[in-house]
Amino acid sequence: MLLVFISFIITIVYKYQQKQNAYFKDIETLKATHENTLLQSQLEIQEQTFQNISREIHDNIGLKLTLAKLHLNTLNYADTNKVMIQVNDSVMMIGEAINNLSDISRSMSSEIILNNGLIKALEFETIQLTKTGMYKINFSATGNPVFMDNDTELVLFRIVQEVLNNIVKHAFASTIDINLHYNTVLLSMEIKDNGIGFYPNNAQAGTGLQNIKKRTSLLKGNLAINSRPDIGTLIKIEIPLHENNTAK
Amino acid sequence: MYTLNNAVFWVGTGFMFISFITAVLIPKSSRPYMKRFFLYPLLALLVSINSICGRILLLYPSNLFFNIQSYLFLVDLFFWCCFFSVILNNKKDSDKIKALFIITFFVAVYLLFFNKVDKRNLHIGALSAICKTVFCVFFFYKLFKNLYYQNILKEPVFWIVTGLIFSSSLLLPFYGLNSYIKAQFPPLISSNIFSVSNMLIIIMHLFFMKAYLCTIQVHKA
Repeated sequence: MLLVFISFIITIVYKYQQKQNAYFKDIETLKATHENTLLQSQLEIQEQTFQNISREIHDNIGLKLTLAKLHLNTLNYADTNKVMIQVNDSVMMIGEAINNLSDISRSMSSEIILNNGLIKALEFETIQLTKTGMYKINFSATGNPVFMDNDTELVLFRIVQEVLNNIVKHAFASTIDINLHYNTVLLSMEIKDNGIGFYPNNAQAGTGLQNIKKRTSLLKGNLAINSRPDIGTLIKIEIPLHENNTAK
Repeated sequence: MYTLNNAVFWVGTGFMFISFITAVLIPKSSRPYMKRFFLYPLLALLVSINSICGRILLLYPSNLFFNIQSYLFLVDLFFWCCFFSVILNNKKDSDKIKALFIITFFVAVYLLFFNKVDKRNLHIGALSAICKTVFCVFFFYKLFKNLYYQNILKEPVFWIVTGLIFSSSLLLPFYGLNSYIKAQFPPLISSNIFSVSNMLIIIMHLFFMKAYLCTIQVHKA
């Protein structure tokens, strides 16, 4: 009887340890998968950043510098007044190109997030977009802002950049409202535009929308897209703070 | 007469006393469920003293002995219900344990007051043993499902529940077959057979002592 019972104890302990080892293995695998996804996402963000830099340099700065070079190449030294105007224009264009370069550098770099946090970075982003003169942007942050770890804030920042990029590319909007609301457990982010809208269920998810979805799920958040043609689009993202918060 | 059974009884009572003293003295801060665990050896000691007074020393009538024994079995079951409710640490699971206890309690009340059977302490004991075995099986099921502890060998609760399932599952045939054994075997043999049931209780207390040792190790760590 005792022998049977000793075997019972040994079996229980052995099976328990076996199950526990399997559980720890599962956790390790999950952790590795999560880290892998995070790394992949970071690589994607990096790749996209490079693409944006390349596009900006080609379409904006390159154009300005080419124009400046054209002005300087076609200088007619006989006409001093025209030379002065052309040189001044060139200086102005080179100055604008330098400013643009500096803006791109700040917009693409994660330094702004590291130094100033998500809210300041978003404010800067909205100012940049307002400068184009095509949009009226209302930005607000309510509740008690919580600092999240840099990686999380960077992913959130890239999500907003992606949404704004989509608005610029497809929405034909004139007004954009961005609201961040922090409560004790959630960061709730709403980005609303008055553009042409779309049927979210019918829309084929492009790379931009896919990236937004992927990055939101990476932060264990929820994404809701509310849109109808001619009414505009409201994108609502909720991120749990306790799972992404390793307070600074 | 029946020296083996009586000897085992006295030794068992001694074990329960040591178990009670140890349970009172051990540091309990590391495991909250150990705070009131000393009540169980105390209860077992009372059951044992009742048996000595009522059965060996014949200090009071057997009917009174059976009744006291039955009530003590019910209190014992209530203790285990509270203990499992605490260790399962989950309201839903605790409710299941409480529900099973309430059902068993009503069946026991029926057996005690409405179904006047002889030696009702054996019926209540069997019922209580079934209920405790179910508690233990449920605990092991939850233990495997939720993997509460990193090293179960160092967990006092593992040794307590193992000791309990050992005694309650093996005591069940002794309660159930009491009349049969007494009818089939001569008094000396049957008494010696029943001494095994007391040995089971001693072994259960040995498991509890192992649990106390774990508590001391955990406290030192």
